Amino acid sequence: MKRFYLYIAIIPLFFLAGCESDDDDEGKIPDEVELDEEYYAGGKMGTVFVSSSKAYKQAMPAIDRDAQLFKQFMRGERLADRSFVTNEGMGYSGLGPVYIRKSCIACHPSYGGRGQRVEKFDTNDSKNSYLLMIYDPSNPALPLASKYFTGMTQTRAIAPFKAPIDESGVKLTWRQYTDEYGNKYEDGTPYSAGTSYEGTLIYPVVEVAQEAILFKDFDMSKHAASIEATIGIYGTGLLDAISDEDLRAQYAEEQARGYCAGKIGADIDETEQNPYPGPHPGRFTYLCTRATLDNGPGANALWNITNVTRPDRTSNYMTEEYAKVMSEDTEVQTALGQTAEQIFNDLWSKSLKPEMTQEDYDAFMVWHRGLAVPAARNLDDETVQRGRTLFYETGCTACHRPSWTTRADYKPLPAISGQKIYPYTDLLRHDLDMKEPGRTKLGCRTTPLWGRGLMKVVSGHSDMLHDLRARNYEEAILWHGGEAKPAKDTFRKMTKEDRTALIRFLESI
Amino acid sequence: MKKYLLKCMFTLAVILMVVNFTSCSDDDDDDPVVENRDEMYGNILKSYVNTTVIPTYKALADAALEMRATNQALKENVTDANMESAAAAWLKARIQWELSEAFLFGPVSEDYLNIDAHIDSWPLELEEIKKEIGLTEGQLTGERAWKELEDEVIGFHVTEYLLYREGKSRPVAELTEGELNYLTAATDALVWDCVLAYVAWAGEENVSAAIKEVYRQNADIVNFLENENASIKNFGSKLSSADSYSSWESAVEEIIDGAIDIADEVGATKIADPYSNGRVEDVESWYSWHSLEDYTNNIYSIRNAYMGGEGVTGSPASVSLSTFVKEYDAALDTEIKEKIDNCITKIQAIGDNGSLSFYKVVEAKSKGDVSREALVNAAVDACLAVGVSFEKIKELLK
Repeated sequence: MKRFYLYIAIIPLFFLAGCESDDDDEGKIPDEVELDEEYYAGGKMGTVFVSSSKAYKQAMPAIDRDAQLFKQFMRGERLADRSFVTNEGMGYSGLGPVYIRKSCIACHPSYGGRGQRVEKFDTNDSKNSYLLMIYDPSNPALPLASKYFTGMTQTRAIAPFKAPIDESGVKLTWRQYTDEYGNKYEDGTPYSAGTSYEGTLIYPVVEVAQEAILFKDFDMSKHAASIEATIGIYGTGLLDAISDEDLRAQYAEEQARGYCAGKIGADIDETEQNPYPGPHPGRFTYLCTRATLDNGPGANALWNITNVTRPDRTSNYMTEEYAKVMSEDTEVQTALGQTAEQIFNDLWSKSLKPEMTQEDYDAFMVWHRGLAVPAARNLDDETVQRGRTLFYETGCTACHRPSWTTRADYKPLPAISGQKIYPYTDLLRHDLDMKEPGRTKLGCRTTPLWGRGLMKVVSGHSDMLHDLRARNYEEAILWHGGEAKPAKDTFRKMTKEDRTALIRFLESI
Repeated sequence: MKKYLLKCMFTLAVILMVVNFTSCSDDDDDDPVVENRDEMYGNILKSYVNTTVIPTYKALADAALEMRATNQALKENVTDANMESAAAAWLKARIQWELSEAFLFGPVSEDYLNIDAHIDSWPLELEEIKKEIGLTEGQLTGERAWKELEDEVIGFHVTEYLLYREGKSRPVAELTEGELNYLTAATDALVWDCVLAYVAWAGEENVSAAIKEVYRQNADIVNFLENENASIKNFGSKLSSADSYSSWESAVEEIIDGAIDIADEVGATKIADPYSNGRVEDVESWYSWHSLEDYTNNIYSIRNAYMGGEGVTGSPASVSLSTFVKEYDAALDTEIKEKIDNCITKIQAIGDNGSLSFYKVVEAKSKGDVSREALVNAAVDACLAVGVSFEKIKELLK
């Protein structure tokens, strides 16, 4: 703590001296010079030295130094903060007709704080940041139950329209799980010792009642449901700035090494949506289904969570089946005083009037891209250093790749080009063989670990993993099976001091 | 916020290089000077909590209860005088809320009790409000408003919508029975949220019997704090002891970042954004036309967070972030105080010190009248300058 600022103080000198090595980090324990660099988790232009509850809400230095970008950032922040409404003339209009949440902040508290593990699926609960997924269990990768439901299932609608799923019919249950070691470490200590949930692990089971489904010919018994919590937004601009070539090289290297061979996201051609022509491998979302930030989860969510249209999204986010069922609903026809054909044509129109201006959307993207990563903390602490050594020795870095260097010419925000960043992810999917994994049975993208240590301060909890089943860092590690089982087993065999040290390191980055 | 941080770091690099090479031991945990610093940070945090945050929330809870009382009087006797009293009570509570905006973290934030969104959401979902008002059966109660209604149909701006039009108390003849009921219910929900914020910061054992009674009136409120958000109970004492923070400095940073956050928001978001785009719908307090006072009170909130004390005319505390800064960099302390005073003056100047509402200023701008642009720009710059000066305090937290 006290030496923290001293270390910050000397970091710029190393940068000035041009110390920018970018070697493969896996398995190698970086020397002292690199340790100093690691405080700048998001690179010089993407890191802020804020460790209070506002840590995930800050603009990058790359934004702060430019008056126009700062103005757009603040406007974009407001768009993320506000609820959209249905009535016109109040600003922020255009919600619905069918939707998932009213605002970004509803699922992204403090923009990176994440929601909490909840007992009930209630989208009016500010702590609930889950998205409900309905999918074909034999092929979870496919656009879900695409004839009926949108990729992210909608549970809300503006009357007279009806939600595809009635939330009251969604049952969320947390079940107990005992691993092959009886939920104990090798030294006999129960997992999460000293907590009210000592010696336990839990996982979610989601059931959706047939009666809760709008579509009469949809058979829920042949489908599955799961929940996925939102991911932090900060630092996504920097992940976007990693070149495709570097990502493909990481993939190739993992295929060649004979263990923990990650899966790369499928190529997506986004030529019209970003400055780089050609196909790009998916790197965003748990299943790596989005390739670039300009057609990424946030750019899409602004539209498909709220159904607020804009110049490049002039249709409703809904299935044709939904439009058909609603148009044929006599209650809807009566309430609107329209024929089935009129209603269908309105709902399914591809040329709706934009409800958000291009200027506002651009500002939103500046905010999205420009959210800074909080600096690492306490890296000079002896225990943290020990934890760092263990992190490398245990093999965590096989997937949680410590550093990358962003491309030399990141056109959407040139100031964050060429930054050495420490996200601790390989941006590839791995099989963790979890109990009831939901769609992530196909492999879940390695979660970036940067900034996560501040969750306790920002959000007051440390619920983690894709469905927030892990209630602390210990549990997050202990749910690592499959490809990561050797690392978990090594952690299980560590002494209490070493386990603590490893977690202290994670809390510091 | 963040501006000039890197520059500060470089400056700090030069200054601290010497310290680093000459006196940095392997472990300075036992350094008595450092220990004193931690104690000092603890004292600053205690004073911040006890002289500014908790008294502000107490005043907010008291003011919300006055709203409840004036509503009751209005219900019993529907007169213009009682309507004006109810509108005046709304304004009094509104002032207290704005005076709390330099500490929009902890219990009130979206990560915890979500009180900020619950009572200060804008825009409103007017159609939903009108639909609820029109119900002839199962009319809204305070309990249902708090528990079931969504953020966009409750809170300060809904009660403002029912009490005010164009900057004035509405003629009581306009107020329907359904509206009066909605006003009463929404106010009850507001009261519980304000009391909840106060109890969460102060601890139930530290509030008066009267406040405790209101808190205990609604079992949902008690359950929400006691069972669903137990970790946030007595947040004031948690912050004072830097509980769950990575360092004492991080806890003190809450004061600084809270101030910077609202200074930037007032300048860039509340003033510059609606003005530059001519968006009247982005002007806060749309019905009471109280926006410039809201913004000024936000800056008073920053002053109180920095100097201790509460209210618009409160006295500074004997221990505060200001006294710390003064000890280590007297010029910076003077600079910050001057920036705060200047900011208040500049915001007030936008509306000729109360004679013109910001709504009217923005409306005029949307019609091409830019006569106030220089005043607006000066206020925006003054707000952002407050943030830049506060950022410098972090250099002293070493």
